[in-house]
Amino acid sequence: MSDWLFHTEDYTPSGSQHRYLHKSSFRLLTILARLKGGVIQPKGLIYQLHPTVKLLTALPLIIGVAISQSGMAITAVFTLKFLELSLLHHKHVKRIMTIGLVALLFATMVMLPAILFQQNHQTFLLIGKIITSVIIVNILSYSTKWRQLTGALSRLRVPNEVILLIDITLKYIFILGRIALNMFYALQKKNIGIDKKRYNSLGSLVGILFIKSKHHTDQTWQAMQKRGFNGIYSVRNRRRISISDTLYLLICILLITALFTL
Amino acid sequence: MSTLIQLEDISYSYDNHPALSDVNLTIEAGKAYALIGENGSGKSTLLKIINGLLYPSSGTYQFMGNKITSKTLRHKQGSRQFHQRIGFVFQNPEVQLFSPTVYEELAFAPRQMQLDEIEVKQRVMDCLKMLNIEHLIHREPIYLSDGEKKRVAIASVLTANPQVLTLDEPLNGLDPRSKRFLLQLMLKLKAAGKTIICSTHDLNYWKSLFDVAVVMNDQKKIEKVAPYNQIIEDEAFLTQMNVM
Ligand SMILES: Nc1ncnc2c1ncn2[C@@H]1O[C@H](COP(=O)(O)OP(=O)(O)OP(=O)(O)O)[C@@H](O)[C@H]1O
Ligand SMILES: [Mg+2]
Repeated sequence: MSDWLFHTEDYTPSGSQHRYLHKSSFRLLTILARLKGGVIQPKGLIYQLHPTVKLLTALPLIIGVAISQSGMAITAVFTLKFLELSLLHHKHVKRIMTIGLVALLFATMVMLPAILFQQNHQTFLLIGKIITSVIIVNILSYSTKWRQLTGALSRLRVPNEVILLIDITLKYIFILGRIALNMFYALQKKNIGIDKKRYNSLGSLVGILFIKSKHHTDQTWQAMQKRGFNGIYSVRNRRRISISDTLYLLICILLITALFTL
Repeated sequence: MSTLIQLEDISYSYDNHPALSDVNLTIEAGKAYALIGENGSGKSTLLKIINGLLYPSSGTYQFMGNKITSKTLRHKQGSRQFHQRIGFVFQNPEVQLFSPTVYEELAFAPRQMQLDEIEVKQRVMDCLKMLNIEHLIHREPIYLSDGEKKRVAIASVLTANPQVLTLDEPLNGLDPRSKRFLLQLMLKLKAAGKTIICSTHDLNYWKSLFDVAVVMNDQKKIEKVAPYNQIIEDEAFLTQMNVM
């Protein structure tokens, strides 16, 4: 047993905390971190970029890619992101490529009629847009530590309501997915025949699902409180902007300008 | 022995559904208490009240001489201190793991306490070792097995170094070796001066640990508070209470 466990903790919580984050954004990122899977934190240029810079550039890049009509600008963004990708840890590269491929497949499938019958510029542009934004989001999420992201978000003062909305959606999707699966198994086991009753039980299943996820969320919130969390999250390690951050920022600004003007 | 927790005439209802009725209980520092009772007798509810997660519908709760109410816990500083002093391991380990890695999970409480990173790391490593889960350090808590989750949950409470450790059926879902391991751990924590309150259905496992048994009945009341070894000898009583 370690020494400190023998001592009664002499803990007086500090009254004021200046840098903080709201419970919702904290939880949102917890879920994002869970969803993305794998938490290797290797060293490398992309991992070392300032989290705020990464977050700040990723957002307009995605919007720009979505609205731009310029194949050239989108290709340029894609090239930059592909370069970034090649600088990541090989495990991350593999995961992001897989996700990218799935997105590509999905996009191609959805637009198969268009591809077959009216092979025009627009169709390919759209597919390119989808792949590029998927890669942007994933590079951000894989190369940035969850704690860094919370810090970046808090500094950007993202409106609480927006975060809350995404938070709840994500949280519920995640929890509901797990519970729903188990409950469907249970329902299958009960072997209810195909009649009206079945639809009734399916209906109540959905109801119960919401109550369960609410219950689950409440308990998680309680567990966080028990460990000293009060809706505020302290952020440490403020980082300065480095030369590579500035360079990266300039390249991104250039690309963003291209996306919005070309 | 000094009195740590004092519950007087505590009752609790979940939306008109009574879950605890007229509970009087005194918890003394440094002792280990077993909460025993059939399913639905109110053990988890009592633990949640003691932890300040539910507030009694009537009656008073004092922790180290301070009244605990929704009002006193609304005060951030007081609430943090209270929660640091009394840690809780939930019945379902799943709900209390919310960090992306096991390391972050264990570091959560000491970071909230504003300890510096060196000390945070020290505590995390110590607790990982204590729970024998060093190999899980980089894993994601939600993808662990139930038994592993339980160990991580216990470790993540210990890093705050609470004076009182409350656990809701910690043996649930553990294999025999893990059960023995947990017992040894509890004995060490008790030797270190911690107060332990633990609900359980496995009466025979804990003979060497518990000092006092608190037996709840199907009326959601406390039936009896007595020395643990005396209670587990009384098979007729335990059978009547539906715990054996
Ligand atoms: N969230 C809730 N809403 C409504 N009723 C509840 C809720 N939680 C528990 N109860 C009810 O309160 C009573 C006490 O429940 P509690 O969970 O405290 O029992 P327990 O002794 O921990 O049981 P177990 O051994 O099964 O864990 C039960 O009758 C239960 O049905
Ligand atoms: Mg219970």
